[in-house]
Amino acid sequence: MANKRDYSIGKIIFRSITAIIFIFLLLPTLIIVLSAFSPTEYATFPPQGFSLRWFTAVFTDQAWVLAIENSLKIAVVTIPIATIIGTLAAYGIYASNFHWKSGLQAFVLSPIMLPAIILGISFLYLATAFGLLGSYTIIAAGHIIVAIPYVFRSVTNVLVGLNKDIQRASMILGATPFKTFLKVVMPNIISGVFLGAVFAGITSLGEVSISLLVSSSQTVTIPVQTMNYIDQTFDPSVNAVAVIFIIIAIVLITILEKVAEKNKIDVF
Amino acid sequence: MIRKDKTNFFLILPAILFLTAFLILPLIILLLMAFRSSGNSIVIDDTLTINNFISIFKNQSFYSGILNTLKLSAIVSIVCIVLAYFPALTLVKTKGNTKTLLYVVLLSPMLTSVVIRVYSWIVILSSNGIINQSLMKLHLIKSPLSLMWNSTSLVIAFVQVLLPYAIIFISNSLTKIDNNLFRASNSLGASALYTFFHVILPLTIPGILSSFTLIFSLTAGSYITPMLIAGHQKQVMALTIYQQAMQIMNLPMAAALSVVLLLVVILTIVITNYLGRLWEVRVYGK
Repeated sequence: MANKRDYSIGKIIFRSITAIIFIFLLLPTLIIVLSAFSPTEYATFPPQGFSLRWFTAVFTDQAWVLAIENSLKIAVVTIPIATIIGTLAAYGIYASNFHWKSGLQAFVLSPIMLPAIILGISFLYLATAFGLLGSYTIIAAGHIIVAIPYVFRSVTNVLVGLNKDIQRASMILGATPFKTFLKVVMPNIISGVFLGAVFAGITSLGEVSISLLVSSSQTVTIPVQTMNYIDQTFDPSVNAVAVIFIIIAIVLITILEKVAEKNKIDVF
Repeated sequence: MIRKDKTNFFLILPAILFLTAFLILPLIILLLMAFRSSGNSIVIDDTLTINNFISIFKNQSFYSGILNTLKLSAIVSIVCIVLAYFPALTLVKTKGNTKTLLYVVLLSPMLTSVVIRVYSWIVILSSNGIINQSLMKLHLIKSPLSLMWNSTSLVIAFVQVLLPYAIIFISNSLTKIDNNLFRASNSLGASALYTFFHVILPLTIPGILSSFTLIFSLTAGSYITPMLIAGHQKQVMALTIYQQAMQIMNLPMAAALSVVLLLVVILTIVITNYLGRLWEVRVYGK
C-alpha cells in the first residue's frame, strides 16, 4: 500500500486523529504513573520531584494490606476454577453437534453482556438469601462468573484454528474422548488456555461492580478499597496502588500479545 | 456420535451448573424480589404485587433517569464506534513489534480496574486536578473551571474505558475483508473516503453491531463510573438502582428497577440489531 497517496493531506489528517486517540487512551495511565511518584500531597503535573513515599504508605497501611491480601486470595481461587470451567465448556461446545450450540455459546458469554448493576444486585440478593453476604465465597463466585466468558473466548479462538483430523485420528486409534482431549487437544490449545487464565486474573483483580455490593469490611478487595478511598480523600497512595496494577497489566499483556503472535491467534 | 456428544455434554456441564447457580438463580431471585411489596426491607412478606412497577411508572424522575441512561449509552456507543475506525485501520496495517506496542497501548486501559481508570479522570479533571492547576499556573484562569460533574466528563470517561472494545470488534471485522477489495477500489480510481464509505463501512456492519450491543449494555449497566464522575448531578438508572438497594435499602424497588432496565437494554439492542440487518440487506441484497 506504500504509494504516493501516503503523503496526501487526507493521510496526514487520518494519522493525526489516530495519534490523538492513542494519546487519549494512554493519557490517564501516564498521569497516574507520574503522580504516584510525586513527593507532594496533591498530584501535580509536571511532577515536582521523585519519591516512593506513597508506595511505602500503601504497604504500611493496614487497610491496603488487607485489601491486597483479599484480592490475591480471591484471584488465586478464581483463576483455576474459571480457567477449567471455561476451557472445558469451550471444547465441549466446539466438538459437539448439538442443535443449540450457538445458544449455549451465547449463554456462556452472557455474564459480560449483562448490565453490571443487574448482575451486582442479583448477587446481593443471592448472598442475602443464602447468608453469604460479605463472604469470600460469594465474591469469588462473582469473579468466576465474569471471568468464564473471557477464558471461553480465548480458548474458542484457538480451537477454531485447530485441525479436526488429529482428534479423529486419535479416536480411530482407540483413545477415549477424554484421553483425546487431555493428550491431543490440550497441548495444541494450551496457549489459548494461558491467555484465558491471564484474562481471568485481570478480571478478578479489577472486578468492582459485584464486589462493592457483596463485600464486608473484612473482605474488601483492592478496587473496593480504592472506591472507599476516592470517596473520602484525595490521597496519592491510590496512585501508587494504580501503578502496581498498571505494571502487572502491562507485563501480562506483553506476554499475552507475544504468546498470541507466536501462535498466530487473536487476543480476542 | 451419540457417545461422543455425551462426553461433550459432560465437558459443558460444569459451566452450565455454575451459570445456573450464579447467574440464573440470582436473576430468578431478582425477578421474584421485584414483585414483593416494598417498604420494610428486612421482613419481606410473601404476597406478590405489581405495586413497585406502578410507582416506577408514576414517578416523573424515572422517565428522566431512563432518558439520561438511553442518551448517555447511545452517545458513548456512537462516539466509540466512530473513533474506533482510526486505530483499527492502523492496527490491521501494522505488523511485528509496532503492532505489539500498539496493542499494549490499546489494551492497557482495559486491563486496569475501571475504578483506577475513572480515578485518573478525576485526577485530570477535578477542581484541583491537572488541567485546572496548569491553567491557573499559566494565569489563564483565576478560579478552577468546573470540568467534572457534568455529562461531557462522563462521556469522556466512558469512552476511554470502552473504546478498546470497539477497536477490537472493528479491527476483527476489518481483518476479514479481502485486501484485494481495497486494491480494486483504489485502482478503479476511488478516493480513500469513497472506499471507506462504500467498501469498508458496509463490510464492517457486524463489527459495528457487536460494538454497539456490548458498549450500550456496559454503559447502561455501569454505576461505578457515574457515581465517581457525576455524583448525583446526573441521575442514571444504574445509579438509582444502587442507591435504592444500598442507601434507601428498598430491595424490592431496586429489583423492579433492575428488571425495567434489563428490558429497556434488551429492547434497544434488539431494535438496533434489526435496523443493522436491514442496512446489511440493503447493501448486499438478500
